[in-house]
Amino acid sequence: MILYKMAAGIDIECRDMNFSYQKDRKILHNINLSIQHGESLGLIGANGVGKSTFLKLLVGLLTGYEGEIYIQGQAVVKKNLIDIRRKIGYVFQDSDSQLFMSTVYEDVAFGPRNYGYSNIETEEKVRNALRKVKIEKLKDRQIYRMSGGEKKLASIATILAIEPEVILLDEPSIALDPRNRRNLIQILNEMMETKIIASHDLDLILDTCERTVLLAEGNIIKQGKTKEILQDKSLLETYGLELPLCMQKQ
Amino acid sequence: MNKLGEAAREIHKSDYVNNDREKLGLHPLSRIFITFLYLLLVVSFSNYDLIGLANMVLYLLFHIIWYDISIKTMLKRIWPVLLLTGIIGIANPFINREVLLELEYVTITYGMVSMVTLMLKGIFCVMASYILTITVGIGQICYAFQVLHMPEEIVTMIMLMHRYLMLLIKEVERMQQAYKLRASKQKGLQFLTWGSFVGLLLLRSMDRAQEVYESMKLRGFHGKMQTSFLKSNKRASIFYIFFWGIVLFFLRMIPIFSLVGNLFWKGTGQ
Amino acid sequence: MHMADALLSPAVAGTMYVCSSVAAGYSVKKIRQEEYEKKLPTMGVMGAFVFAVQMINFTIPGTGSSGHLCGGMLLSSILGPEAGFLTMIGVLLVQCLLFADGGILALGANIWNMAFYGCFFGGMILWKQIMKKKISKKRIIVASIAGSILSLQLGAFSVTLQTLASNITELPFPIFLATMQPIHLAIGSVEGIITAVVLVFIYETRPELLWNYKENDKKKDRLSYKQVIIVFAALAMVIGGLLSLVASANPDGLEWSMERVAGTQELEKEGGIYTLTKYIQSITSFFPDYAWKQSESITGTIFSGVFGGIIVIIVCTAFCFMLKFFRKKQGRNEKKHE
Repeated sequence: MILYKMAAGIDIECRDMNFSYQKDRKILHNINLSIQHGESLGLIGANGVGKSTFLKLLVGLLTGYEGEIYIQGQAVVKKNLIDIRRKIGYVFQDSDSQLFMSTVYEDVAFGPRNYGYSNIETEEKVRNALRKVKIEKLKDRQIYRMSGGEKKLASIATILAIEPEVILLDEPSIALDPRNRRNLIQILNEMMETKIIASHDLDLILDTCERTVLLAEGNIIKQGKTKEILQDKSLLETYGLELPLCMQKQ
Repeated sequence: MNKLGEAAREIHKSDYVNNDREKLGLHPLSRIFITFLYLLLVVSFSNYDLIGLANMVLYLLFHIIWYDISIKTMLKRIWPVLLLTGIIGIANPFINREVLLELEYVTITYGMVSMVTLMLKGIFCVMASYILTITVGIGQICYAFQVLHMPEEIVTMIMLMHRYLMLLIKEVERMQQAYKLRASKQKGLQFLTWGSFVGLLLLRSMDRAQEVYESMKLRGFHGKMQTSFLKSNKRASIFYIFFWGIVLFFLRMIPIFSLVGNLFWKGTGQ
Repeated sequence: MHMADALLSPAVAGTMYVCSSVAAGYSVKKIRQEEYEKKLPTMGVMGAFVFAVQMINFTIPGTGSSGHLCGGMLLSSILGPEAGFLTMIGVLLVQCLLFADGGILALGANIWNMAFYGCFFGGMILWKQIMKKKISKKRIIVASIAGSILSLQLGAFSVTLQTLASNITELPFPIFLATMQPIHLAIGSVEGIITAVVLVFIYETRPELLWNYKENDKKKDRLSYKQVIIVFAALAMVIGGLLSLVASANPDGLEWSMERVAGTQELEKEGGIYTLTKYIQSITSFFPDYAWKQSESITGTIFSGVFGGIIVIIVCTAFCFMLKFFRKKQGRNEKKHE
């Protein structure tokens, strides 16, 4: 395996990356970004700026980009995808798409089973994953009987069961009530993996990420400490966002 | 319109009463095998062998009591098949008027007997299938299919379908409600909206399918979906197959009702 | 058009299972040659989609009645005939297990009647031939309607044959056939129209979803969606008018045609019901003395059968409850020991 030389401790690296669905309309351009191991990065921006597209590029669901993307030193190209997908997990915005088996256990076990783990190992991994998101009790629950919050936690568990080093979350707090949201934030903060959280729920970003990238019109407009970016009212408003609620009160 | 709600309730129910494992730990295959045998034996009765057919009720009786199945919900299931077989059978009394038995005012013809036999067959078959579904559950039936080496594609597809059934039924229900609120006088879906209503649903389903595929792919899917291995009680399963296999053949061959009746009803039957 | 278990003899049911299995085997083999990993989730979700759509009542203009969609043709024009066929197998299986529509034994026959013709005849032969040159709205409409009508006709014909081969009805073949076919003609046309409008909608919005669609297919199409709708509205009115003559809210053509068959026989003149009412009248006025006109042995068998049945059922019920009682007791003891 040829590993691209990266600075130590860097999990994700994008260099001059461009992407477009059709030739004339660029979705992302000139993305340069590197993410440290164990870091938690917020990806913010209004609807349709390419947050989900960016995440999908990282896991190789979309291909045909220009430039370079590396995950732990491996280029995101077709022949590496099997390796890369064991290192990086993607939590879909819609939990119903993420959870396609009938019960929670079956769904969380899906990944480990596909990667060839024995029944005993799979069970162990499922148990660990469910413990991390604190839903051991829901193990045998039918998925369509679960609430939105429970489903979201179960989707995170399905990814944790593969034991990836990087986790991408697409709008994790969407359609969650305040209590479930708080619970989610707590769980996200307990997770040690490298995380990218794409969301326009800026309060969530504020509570979970140290660093934030502001995406607009396919470009990285600004990146830096979360607090600094989220305090910049005029910057946020220029790009269709608003101050986090907790800062509006101040 | 309430068809959707009813369907949703049915699915709920079929997931709940999966209590087979707790009771005996029978392998789903043994249950499927015996149900199939039962169905075959029931339909193999001749059109006029009403009393012989009645014997077969014993199997149902045993399972209903053993699994605590509510008769009320079961009767609801029977209604459509009763109608169907009744309608098909109703021609028989008019065409075959050969007299079997004449009472003072009532004539019982072979046609009548064959009609009732047909309806009874229908009822028994539906009840037997219902008992199977409600005590084994679709998930376990899929597992049995895998054991039987049914092509992976079909099993995987059925499992996915079962998972998304509820979601789509709910979606159609919501769409219909939204439609109804704006078109309260209409009973069904108006012609002008047929294409867009179903078409939009289709597009959404296709998008959903794409996402599901992506999600599967990201977790290492390569065309095969496994289900949990269930610990089943082998001895009980084999015993179940032998016991019911023999009993069913016995019921098929020996008109036990008449025999027992003859013990009390002396003289005439011989 | 779902066949019930009771309407088939084991031999016919078995034969149909074999036929359908062969078709299924062929389809599995065929889709394995394609990119089937990607198709599987689509098949699953689309199966659920068809299931849900089957429950929608489509109001037929100008009448009070409603039509329904079966889905074979629609599925095969999106997924292709093989994948469509496999998906329909799933739909029919879940229907028979969860909703007792059709039966486990009759599944083979139902797959054949309702999925095989729609997917292989409608999809593989008709759709493919018509779309050979290019896909256009006109072609979609023609293929959908012709495909639905023809496959339903074939399906209805098979139902008739299977029922007769099973020897459960004493109806003469021509009468049965003469009622089944016209009714399924009406049902088929409604299904065809629904399929056509949906496919035209898809063609307008995302044509690449259609089976066999090629990039250069979508050029200027002279028919607009609106025009299509207007043409159809007129068509539907005509069919609706025809339908309302025999109308009912009853979605199931099989039941419906049987009803008509029964209706054509003179029901009340001298049949059982007439005699029965007379009998009930007589029994209220005095208790008649039964005269056994037929041989004694038949009555004996019947009565001993009924009597014996009651005894056996009571004994068995008691036995079951006893078994259950002991099992529960045992369970409780085990718990105590724990």
